Amino acid sequence: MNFAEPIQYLRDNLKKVKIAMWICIAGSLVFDVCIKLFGAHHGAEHGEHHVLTLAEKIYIWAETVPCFWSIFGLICTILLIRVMKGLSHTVLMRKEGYYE
Amino acid sequence: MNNFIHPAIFFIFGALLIPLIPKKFKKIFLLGLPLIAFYCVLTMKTGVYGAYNYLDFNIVFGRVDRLSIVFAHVFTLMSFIGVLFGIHVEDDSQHIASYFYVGGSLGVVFAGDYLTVFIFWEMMALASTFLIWFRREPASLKAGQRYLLMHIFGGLLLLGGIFLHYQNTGTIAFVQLFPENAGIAEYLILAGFALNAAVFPLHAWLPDAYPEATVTGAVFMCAFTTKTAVYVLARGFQGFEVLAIMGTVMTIYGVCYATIENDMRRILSYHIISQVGYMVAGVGIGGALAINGACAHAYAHILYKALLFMGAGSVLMMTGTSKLNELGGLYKYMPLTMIFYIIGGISISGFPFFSGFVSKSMVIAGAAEGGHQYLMMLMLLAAVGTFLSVGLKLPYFAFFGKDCGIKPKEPPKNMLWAMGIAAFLCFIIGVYPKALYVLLPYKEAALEFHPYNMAHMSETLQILLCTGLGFFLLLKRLQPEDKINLDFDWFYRNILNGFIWFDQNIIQKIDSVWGNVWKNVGIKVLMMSIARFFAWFDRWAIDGVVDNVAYGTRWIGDKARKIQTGNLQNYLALAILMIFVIVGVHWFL
Repeated sequence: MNFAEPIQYLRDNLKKVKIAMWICIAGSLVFDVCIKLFGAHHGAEHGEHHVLTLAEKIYIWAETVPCFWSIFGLICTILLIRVMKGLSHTVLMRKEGYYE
Repeated sequence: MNNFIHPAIFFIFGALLIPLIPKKFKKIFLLGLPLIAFYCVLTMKTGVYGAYNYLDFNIVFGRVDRLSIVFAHVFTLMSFIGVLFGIHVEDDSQHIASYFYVGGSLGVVFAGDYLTVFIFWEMMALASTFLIWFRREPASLKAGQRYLLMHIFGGLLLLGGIFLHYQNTGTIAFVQLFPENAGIAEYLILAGFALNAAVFPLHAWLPDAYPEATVTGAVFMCAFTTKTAVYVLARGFQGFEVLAIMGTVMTIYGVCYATIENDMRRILSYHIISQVGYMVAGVGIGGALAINGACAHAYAHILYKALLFMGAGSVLMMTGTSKLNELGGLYKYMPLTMIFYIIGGISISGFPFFSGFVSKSMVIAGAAEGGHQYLMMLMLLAAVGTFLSVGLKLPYFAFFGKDCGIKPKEPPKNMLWAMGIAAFLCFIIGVYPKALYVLLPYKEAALEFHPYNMAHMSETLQILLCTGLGFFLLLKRLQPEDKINLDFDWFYRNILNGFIWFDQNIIQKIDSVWGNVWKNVGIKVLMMSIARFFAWFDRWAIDGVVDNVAYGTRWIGDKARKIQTGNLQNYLALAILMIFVIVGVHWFL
């Protein structure tokens, strides 16, 4: 089996990959909104909050906000890249063999 | 079967036998011992074995409980995978070092007293140093030297703590300590353990040394040193708040550096710090859920981190480089390696149906349950960074990026099999977490934890997908650069350089000046004066006495010879004279 072929196909059709990715993100957002609107209410009615998991208990107010984790993920990624790259270029970065 | 056979025995004695085994049986021997050791762990029963009294110390080689079993389980399993990965290596010394290393780790895991812990702890440090040196590159020799110095420093902290602890308590039993009773001794022991766990700011040895180890050595090293440290922290320091905070700092610190690093194995090394941070935080938070989470994450981490190091090591071995700026487009030539690496990458990132999802969420839930919501949020931030650097950046630039022109082959089959087994285990744990949960120290609490629920899946998918979005939006900014980044090793490298400078410029100058002073004043004036005095004394005092005694004897002999005339009358007169002299003397006295 040639594993490289499907990857090559995806590389050649980057537009389709991007569309698929946007669909996935949109799907996950819709899914989260549905859970926030219906899931919590349904869970409360059936007393399912006893299950000890991170997501079925509300620990911080932000967890009640629909799509909070999407915003969290995106902001954290951008911050990590911008802050660390900035720090690297201004303070930390040295040429290879700096210690030699 | 309830007899305890210490699994470390197979590795330590096995290491000694390796050079004696004929070549055609060597592979069977090398692979067989980890399997036997794994079987011993599977069949052992809880209890205390191998307890001896030596010099009034209670030495315990085999304390078996649920905590030690879970670590021994994954250590022996990992040793088989690691040996399989490196079975093509014909250098016996590498196998011997890795066997001693695993033996040391297992010795620590079953130790019931600090003395035994210390002995096996140092065995691990020494054996792992050789796994760096055996790469036989100038950079490896230097990195190994720094690694050894750091671990000797950690060992001294530990030994100092053990001595003080014994002085204070009169016991060397390795048991749970409590923050409210902890003093200098206990914090010294904690610092010794924390150095091996690469707790910030004692972490810099790890990304300094691991990228310089041999390809197979790095696979072993990523699994044992830090996880043994997590074990001893879980054994002795549960609920120490400082660990919860430092562990969370580690989770962030590791991913921050992984985002900007260029070398594959250095990125993965920083990720060890990050992932071990979850475990250290879990131990510090304490409680059944967090401790279970720390152990589960250690178990899962050993497998997926080894898988990632195997993937990176394969790339290094087949292309000759592990720098992302020199790699790209490897999916065409190393597709199996790429697939296995990606399984490791999505496992560490906590994708549903892979091991990281069922273990990391337990630690995070433990933090939230313990009332540490801010730690929970920081750990989730670290999870974002993990996916960004190991799940996206590294495979993108190594396997999918612009073709680098290198056309490597897949690594040898044994390496692919080892990666395949590790990848399979990552998947199995992900889809059937109960297999891992039943091994955990607090089994009931573990079985009550359900990682698969709608809200958790939604949260995870959102974080991962939006991290992916952020990555592609800022892809240009993440282009790897042929540079290094300063870390805390800057301090100890400069301290070391400062020490060498001080030695070369101050100590040697003082030595040189003192040498001249000694030569001109000490030798020429002082020593020569003393020598002259002794020469004079020898000539006039020693020789004078000896010579004059000789002269005197000769003179007396000369005179006495004249008395001996041979006339009997003279002798008789002399005898009578002597009698008169004696009587006279006696009379007057």
